[in-house]
Amino acid sequence: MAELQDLDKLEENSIYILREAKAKFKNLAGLWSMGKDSTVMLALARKAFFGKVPFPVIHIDNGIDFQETYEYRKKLTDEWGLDLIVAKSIMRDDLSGIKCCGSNKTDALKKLLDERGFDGLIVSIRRDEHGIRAKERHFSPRDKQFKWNYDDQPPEVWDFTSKFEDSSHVRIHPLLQWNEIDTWRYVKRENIPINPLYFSKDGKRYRSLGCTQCTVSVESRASTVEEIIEELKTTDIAERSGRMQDKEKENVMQRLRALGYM
Amino acid sequence: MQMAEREIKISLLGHKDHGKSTLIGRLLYETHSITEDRINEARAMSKTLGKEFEYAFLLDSFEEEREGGFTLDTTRAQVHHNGVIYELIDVPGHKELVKNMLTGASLAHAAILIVSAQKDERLRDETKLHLYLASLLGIKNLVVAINKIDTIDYDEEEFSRIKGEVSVILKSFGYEELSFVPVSAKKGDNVASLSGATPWYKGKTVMGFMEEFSAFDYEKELEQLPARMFVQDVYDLDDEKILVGRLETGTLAVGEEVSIEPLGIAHGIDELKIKYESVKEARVGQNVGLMLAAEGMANVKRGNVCMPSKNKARPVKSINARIFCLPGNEIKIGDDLSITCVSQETRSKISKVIKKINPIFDKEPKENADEIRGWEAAEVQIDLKDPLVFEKFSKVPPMGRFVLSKSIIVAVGVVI
Repeated sequence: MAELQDLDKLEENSIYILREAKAKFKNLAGLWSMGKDSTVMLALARKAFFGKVPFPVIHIDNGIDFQETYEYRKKLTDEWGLDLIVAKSIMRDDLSGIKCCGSNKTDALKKLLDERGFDGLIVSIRRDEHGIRAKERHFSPRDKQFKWNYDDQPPEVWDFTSKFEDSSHVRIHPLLQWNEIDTWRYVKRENIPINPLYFSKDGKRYRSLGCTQCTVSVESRASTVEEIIEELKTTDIAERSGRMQDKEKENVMQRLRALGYM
Repeated sequence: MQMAEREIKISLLGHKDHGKSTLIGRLLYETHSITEDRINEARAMSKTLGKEFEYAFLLDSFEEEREGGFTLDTTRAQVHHNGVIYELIDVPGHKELVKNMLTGASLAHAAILIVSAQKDERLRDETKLHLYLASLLGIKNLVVAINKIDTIDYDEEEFSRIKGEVSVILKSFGYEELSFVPVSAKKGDNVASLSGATPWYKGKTVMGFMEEFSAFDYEKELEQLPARMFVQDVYDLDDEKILVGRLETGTLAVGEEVSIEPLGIAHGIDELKIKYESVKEARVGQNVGLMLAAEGMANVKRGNVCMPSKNKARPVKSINARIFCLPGNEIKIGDDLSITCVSQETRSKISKVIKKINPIFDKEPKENADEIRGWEAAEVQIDLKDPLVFEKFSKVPPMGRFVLSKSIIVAVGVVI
């Protein structure tokens, strides 16, 4: 990749989608994994809504996230005045990979959405992360069983959407158009506080964050945002190469997403 | 790595199996716009399925797509080349999946129509359907790639024959004098570099035409139109109302008198905000916040339209339009439909079908029908319950396009 997208345009596009979400849904929430993309989403929401994130942010917490993640969560929640909801998911020793992400994260989310009646959920996935995520729309309904009917998605013509009458909730994807490097350029430009796990320690860093169980660090000397941007300009390795659920078997991501995974 | 000088969206069009995904995959590969990882993944998948390496797998990532060898839903992929980002929109060819095709193609600035040269493929239903929809969507920049040219031994005469057949259809949908490129997406002929196998071809490569399309300034065209902003929402900010929305066309400046229709409010702009900051001027594509100390601001709501008073469009209660009915639906005269144009929305009904045509099968339009079925396009009169602001699609595109919905979108349309 030799050219960079216009950050101003990406920002405008995302702000537009966030404001659409706010106008269209009565009970909106955002997912915050403490990762770079969902943090950028919150920074964009602060711009869209004049300084304040006007919806609750959900962290699905299985209790085995990295310690750094918890410290970071506390710091930013206070600094940005976030309305944080922690959804506890229960870890099971007998599960791993697809079953783990499926039953832990997805079930915890399902339970919370039922309890709180959220009808719109902002999720910060990007098209360049994974082929399956590239198939998503900006507004994507999940049916009553929480499923993504990817084989019959409603049309989104000129960005005008359907009414989603039969859905349990609608996923809103304001960052679909962003590339990995754009997120980092934006972090730099806007000086956004970021989870320390992304920066190199003893020659390794995390490029994509999950929980301690299934996230593997990559070799890297990049210890600042600038160095990460430089690294990404030359890398030929996919971002989620350290995420086990993407690789486990062919089409795992598709199955996870159909069941309600992020 | 440099900031892209320009960004452009180009949709692929054409019948299933004629090679849309393969051409995009090939372009990604040749321009090194995709990581080695993704290529290896597609390689491994081709092997697992017992197939030769499929460039299409760089796009088609659903299990069903890979096993079935077709595109189910629209995808986008970025080709980076010589300072330009080409966002290529892949769409499914099956006519049953036309809603997914429209989801992708409605965003395109330009298009590449693919017609397979293979003897049993050539000009087909979806070729016609996609061309009709491209003209409805107002896509002017179009090039025709005659794909699988290797299957007819790179024969010039055969290429000219196909070109002649396709030209007839193109003309019937208002496309004149388009260029044709002989291509093998699979083998790479004339995709990013001219092929030695077609010495008789003196034109540009597919990439060459994409470069030509990207030279056109699509944003400037919108910027030169009169300003139009749909109110997206109204927020309270420091006890004042602020109207937010995206500037679809033109520019707005502090002090300029704007009208908010259909409320009939007219007042100078007191303050203009982009994100947190107060600015003097806003331009097309920006999300703006408008503050005006006018009477009746409490009544302004989502769906109202802000325009310069000196150059405004008036709300109407009836429009004439061209619509296309999505498969699986039927619209009868008098059916209750909601009509949506950006954030404005009301109930509506079709009061008259002036003429209708099935772009796949009909040579001549039918007049005075009382229903429109899936895959049919029609010229209709639509009556609106509440007045909305519409303008001709050909003049101010964002003000002249809409969708009609029952519980889901049943038709797309443009104001004529």
